[in-house]
Amino acid sequence: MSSSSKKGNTNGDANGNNVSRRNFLKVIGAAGGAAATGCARQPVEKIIPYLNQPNEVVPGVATWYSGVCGECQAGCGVLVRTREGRVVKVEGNPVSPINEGGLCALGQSTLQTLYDPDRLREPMARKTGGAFSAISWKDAVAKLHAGISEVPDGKEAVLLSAPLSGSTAKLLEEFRGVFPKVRHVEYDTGGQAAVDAAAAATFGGGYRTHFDFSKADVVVSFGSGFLETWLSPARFSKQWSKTRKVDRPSGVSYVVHVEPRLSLTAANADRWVKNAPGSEAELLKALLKLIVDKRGAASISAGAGAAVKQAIAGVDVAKAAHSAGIDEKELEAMATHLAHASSSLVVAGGASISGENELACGVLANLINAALGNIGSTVMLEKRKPSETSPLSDLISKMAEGSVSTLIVAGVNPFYSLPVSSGFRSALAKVPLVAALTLNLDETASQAQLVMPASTNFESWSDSNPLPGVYALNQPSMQPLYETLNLGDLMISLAWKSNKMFGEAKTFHDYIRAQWKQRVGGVDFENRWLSFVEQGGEFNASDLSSNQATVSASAGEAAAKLSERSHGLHVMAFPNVRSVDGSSANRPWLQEIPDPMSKVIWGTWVEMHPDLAEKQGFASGDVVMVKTKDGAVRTPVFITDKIHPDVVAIPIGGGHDSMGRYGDGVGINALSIMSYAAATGGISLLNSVVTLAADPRKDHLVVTQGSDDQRERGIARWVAADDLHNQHGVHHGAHHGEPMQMYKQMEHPLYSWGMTVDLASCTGCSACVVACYAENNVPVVGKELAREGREMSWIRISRYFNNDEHRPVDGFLPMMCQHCGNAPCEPVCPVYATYHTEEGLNHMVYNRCVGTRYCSNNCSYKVRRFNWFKYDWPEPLNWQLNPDVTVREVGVMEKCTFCIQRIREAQNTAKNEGRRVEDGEVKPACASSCPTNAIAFGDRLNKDSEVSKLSADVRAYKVLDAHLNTQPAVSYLARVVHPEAAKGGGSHGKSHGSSQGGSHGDSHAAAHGGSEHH
Amino acid sequence: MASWYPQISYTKVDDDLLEILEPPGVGWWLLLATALSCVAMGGYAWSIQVLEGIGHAGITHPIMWGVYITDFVFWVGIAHSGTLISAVLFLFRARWRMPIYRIAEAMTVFAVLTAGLFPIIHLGRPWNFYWLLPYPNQRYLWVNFRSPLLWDVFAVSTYLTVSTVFFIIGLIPDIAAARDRATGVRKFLYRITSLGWTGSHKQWRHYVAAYGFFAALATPLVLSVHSVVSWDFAMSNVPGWHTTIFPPYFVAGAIFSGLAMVITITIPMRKAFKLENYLTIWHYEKMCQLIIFTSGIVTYAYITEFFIAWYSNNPYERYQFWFRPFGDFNVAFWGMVFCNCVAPLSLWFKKLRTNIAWLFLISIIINIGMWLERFNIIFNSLSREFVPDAWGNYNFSWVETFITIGSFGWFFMFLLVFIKVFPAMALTEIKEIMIPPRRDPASAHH
Repeated sequence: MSSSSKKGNTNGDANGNNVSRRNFLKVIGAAGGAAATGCARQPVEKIIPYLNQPNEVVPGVATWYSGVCGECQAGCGVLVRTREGRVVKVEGNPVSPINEGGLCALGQSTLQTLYDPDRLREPMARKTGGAFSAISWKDAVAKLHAGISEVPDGKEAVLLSAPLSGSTAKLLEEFRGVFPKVRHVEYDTGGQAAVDAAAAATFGGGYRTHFDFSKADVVVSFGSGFLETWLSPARFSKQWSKTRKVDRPSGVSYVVHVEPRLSLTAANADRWVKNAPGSEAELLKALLKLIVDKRGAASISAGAGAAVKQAIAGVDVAKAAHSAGIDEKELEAMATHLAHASSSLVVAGGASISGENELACGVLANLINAALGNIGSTVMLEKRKPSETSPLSDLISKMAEGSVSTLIVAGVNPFYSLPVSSGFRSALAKVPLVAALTLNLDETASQAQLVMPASTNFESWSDSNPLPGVYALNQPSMQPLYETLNLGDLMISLAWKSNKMFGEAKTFHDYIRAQWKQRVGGVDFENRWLSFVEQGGEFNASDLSSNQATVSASAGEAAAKLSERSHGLHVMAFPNVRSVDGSSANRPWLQEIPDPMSKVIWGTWVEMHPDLAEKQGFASGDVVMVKTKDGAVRTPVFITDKIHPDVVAIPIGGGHDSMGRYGDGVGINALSIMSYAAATGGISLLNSVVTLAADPRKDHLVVTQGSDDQRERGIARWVAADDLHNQHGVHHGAHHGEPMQMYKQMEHPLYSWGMTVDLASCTGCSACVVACYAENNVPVVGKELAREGREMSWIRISRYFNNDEHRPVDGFLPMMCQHCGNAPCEPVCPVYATYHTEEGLNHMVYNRCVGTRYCSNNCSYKVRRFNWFKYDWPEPLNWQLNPDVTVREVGVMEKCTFCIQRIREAQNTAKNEGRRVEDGEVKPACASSCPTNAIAFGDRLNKDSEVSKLSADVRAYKVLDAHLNTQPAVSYLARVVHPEAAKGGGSHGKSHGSSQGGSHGDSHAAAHGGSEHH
Repeated sequence: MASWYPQISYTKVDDDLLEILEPPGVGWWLLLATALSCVAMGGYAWSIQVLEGIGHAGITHPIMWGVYITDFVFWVGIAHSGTLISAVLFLFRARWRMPIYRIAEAMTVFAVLTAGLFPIIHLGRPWNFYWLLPYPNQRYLWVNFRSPLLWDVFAVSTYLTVSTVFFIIGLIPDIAAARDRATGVRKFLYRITSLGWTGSHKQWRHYVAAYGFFAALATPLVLSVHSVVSWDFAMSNVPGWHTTIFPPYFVAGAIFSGLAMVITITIPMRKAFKLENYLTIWHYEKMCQLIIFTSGIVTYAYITEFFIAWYSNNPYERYQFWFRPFGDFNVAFWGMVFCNCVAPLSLWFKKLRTNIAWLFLISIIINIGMWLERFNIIFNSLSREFVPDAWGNYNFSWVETFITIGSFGWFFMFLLVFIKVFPAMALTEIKEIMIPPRRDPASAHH
């Protein structure tokens, strides 16, 4: 890895894309550091002829750059794989202390923002007529400069952006020195603002709370989807997975999740408590009271005592439980677990607690953690300068008054993501100059007068400070595709226009270097800088365990004062692994991977309890209108009993009209009907429903999963942590002992590749699915073809429900080609297009395939995908295609190859070095993306390899092998549940859950109920 | 001996049966036009499928085979009774075969010609169909002899070859008879195709020997072809397919459907060409007996499948056989039961089986039922296999419908042309079973 990004040629033809081959080569030739230049003119450097090949570029060999994922505020480290100058894949950076390798679905899909065919390519200004026309960067900067430097008296210019960190934040401070009339307003969609507000209210300003799930023996989560979207999901998932190991000294953690609907986090919890919407604050209070009762008031530190006392004054536990629609014993048990745990953690966040009582919930969670002595163990306090940002509500009212003369919107899309009732849309029209620094001409940008194309993290320098002592550094891994800038460079350009410079910095790159030099000291800086760039930052995470803070007096008040919750039917807009705030809508991968819970793709739906649906006369797939006081949306119903009857829920992310070809017109925007909580300056993702009515419109949901019930076929199994030999979900008595082999078994002289998937760690987050799309050039087919069942995904996450009320999911099982030793697909192919190799792989020869599809019929795992049509990647999405993997032709079968290209690469390296491939050297895309390291891959002949050990584990099993003797190379390790949770019963049920889906694509649920269970 | 035939002179037989070859009327032209239109429909649909991808058909994950393979098995099944009637019944000296065997054999050849299209139509890359043939090539690519699909290639092509040769041999004396009366182009055609037949004793001796040999050669094929086709399913591990009962069950079903098709074809022919004297109720009764018998076999096979699914205690089989009668596409199952098991029961009644209109109706019902049987096996089994999360359903598309209609057009196109070009009724054999005329100077020596 190197900081330099001199890169080689590209083979692609970029004509018709405003990027001619010549220009592309010219740009390619420019040095990386200077590329993200601050000035409007790109510095021209000499083209590097291929005769003088840059040292680090070998055609056909990938170059990797470290970087930072810019998808959310978490700051996960990434490794970016480039081939011949093009970014082709993103992986998690194993040395980053945030994600320790692994990357979520959103992070994996960032490539499709880089190569978004609808990306903004040049600055544009609105003409008097109203239409946009292209202008030069010089003019754009001049125009914006005028807007921020000539602000009339009594008015102000505002920069609206996501929370800034690192050098960008520092630069902004200096920038405001040059342009004093510019105010900064942060717009946070990730939930950090609410956590910070709660920390401020609990401990006084100047603190940020950081959570450490890895140390918690008991976790009680109120709505916070820490395994999917909340704050830093990849990090939290990894931490959580560390507590799910059966050999953990203090045992497997016990996780309780309180939320009105079964979110992915709830599905992975040991116990899901389905509470009435909006009842979390009362429950937290009752929980606090019970804990105080159990542990005794004396155990609570003097500082917290007063606040706790105030918070629990007059709390009636029975009433709170009754009001929330849960059993009082439930709270009692929760409190007992927490009070007796040597280490625990209570978190509150996410959609279900948002609204009027969001702050109280956050404070109460902090108080509980303080009462339990968790501060310094699972809740770390970081001393931090209080944010000077003013609330968004303040900005909106100022805009509406007309006192904002210039608004720069950088990287956020409030026109889409703020509720209509916030008044942002109408206020925006009152701002004379709206400038947007944006990737796409999104909803906000299309209202602007000036739009400027933004760089992605792949094309520019940036840094951030996600944790104390952790400084993530992002270098560009590719030349900018278009004439784009990031916020730092834009600020430098604007300052230049005023003849100001920030130190010596001509570019943001210079500025970052200067900042880092200042921080780490000048001794041997160049070498250290190179190592920072190489590893993706400076990772000396501070130990915060000694940081303690006294609970401020106002905390009790903030916790005690609750707004009366509204009863009746609510609607919840929930973030999910495919979309947190809707900004990822134009990425076809994310549209096509199924939502892990509902298994719906391409669209939005409204989750509804069967009782409510029956009362209203709705069937699954009917379009209904959900109307709140703030607006109405119409979307198909998805009936599921995994939701409280008093709430309906709609996923966030749909309903765009200006994102691009993949996002526009898909689903509806649930955020638009939410209410705006002026008090916290945030969106309340829970709102009262005024009307729920049938709508004559026709629409359909595309559900990719056939049946939700595994019928005791032992596909997704689980064990209790204290009873590892007893695998549940299996039809017992089927087969025992080693099967007799009729034929001579294949010999594996060199390697026998195998995989293990630890279901104890798999959360169903679907990062592997996206990683597989990216690595293996898996085409996206679109809604209509997917509805017919023609999606091409090589991995699917099988999610099986049971009828346990509190742990209704048997498990998430990533199902990919099992590379069976006795593969049913192999003998039936008349032309040997699929065959077995000596390395234990089931090969698929695309060239030889004639398309009889018999292999797929005979595949017991149904993991083969057929190219029913020829699928296209519109320019420049095709630039992402992995050159090591064939793009398949129409009429041929395809499937998981265990990332054969990665195996071959490792084998070539090993051969050159005269050795065998070592364990861990080959990591398929799914394994390397997994945020919880659930997937292991290696050589089964090597008895010391991870897969050999894991597949010999007591929890290991092979799907269907006992019945079919297919001898898969993939072993699954049964999901582990806390002994307490196993008491519930799990999948020994008789009913079939909600039985959604059934027929592929038709949402008329095939309720195959009443079938025999054996 | 053949007392069921009225006393007719050999000349009258020639007159009556060769009259079929007279220039066609409007009705024939209309039928041919309809058949050709159907072929055009199918051709159009197929061309779209070839140009853009087989995704235009409704088949989809997890139901990778659908209407095309149903059609394939259906037509192979139809092809069955021809050889049964011409070869097996010949060896068993079942004399009632005489008037129907020619048309049944023609039906066989044309049905194989139709069936043979479907394995190509259903390929993802039909332009590479020849890769299924074991031909020597520079790339040392070979076919997989373990695959039942390859066995299919051999079974169907062998069957086509043998049944075509057998068919042609049987035609020789009759073509010669037609030749003796024909003029112009027809005379030329018949002179070539009758291969110099003069009707000498030596020729007859060779002819009868050859016919016997080919009958013996074709007989095992009657069993093998459909057994091999059934292995396409039985050799897989799919619940509902993986069963040893399939070969006899498929063979019986094929004979069943083939006989029904013979009835479907001969009844309008009998009417159009006034063949009531040659195709008598007695012949139809004989066919009905065989239909009742084979219907009983398939019904027994259906019951056995259910019994074994239950008795095996195999959850996957059990679910599959629960799904067939009560699942999403139980129409196919109950339709099949009605058409193949219930409706043929009416043929136990002499009154009904001697009613030509009723027979015609039943024969069509059986054809529908046998199509549904194959669809039922293919669709239901594939839609509910081992892993429930991958279950799915299937709606067939217009392309599949058009191609299926096209296959009927294709089949009837051949049949219509054949009837008007070559003797569709076996003159020689019919004469064989008649009471030989005595002292009738008009009768010629044939």
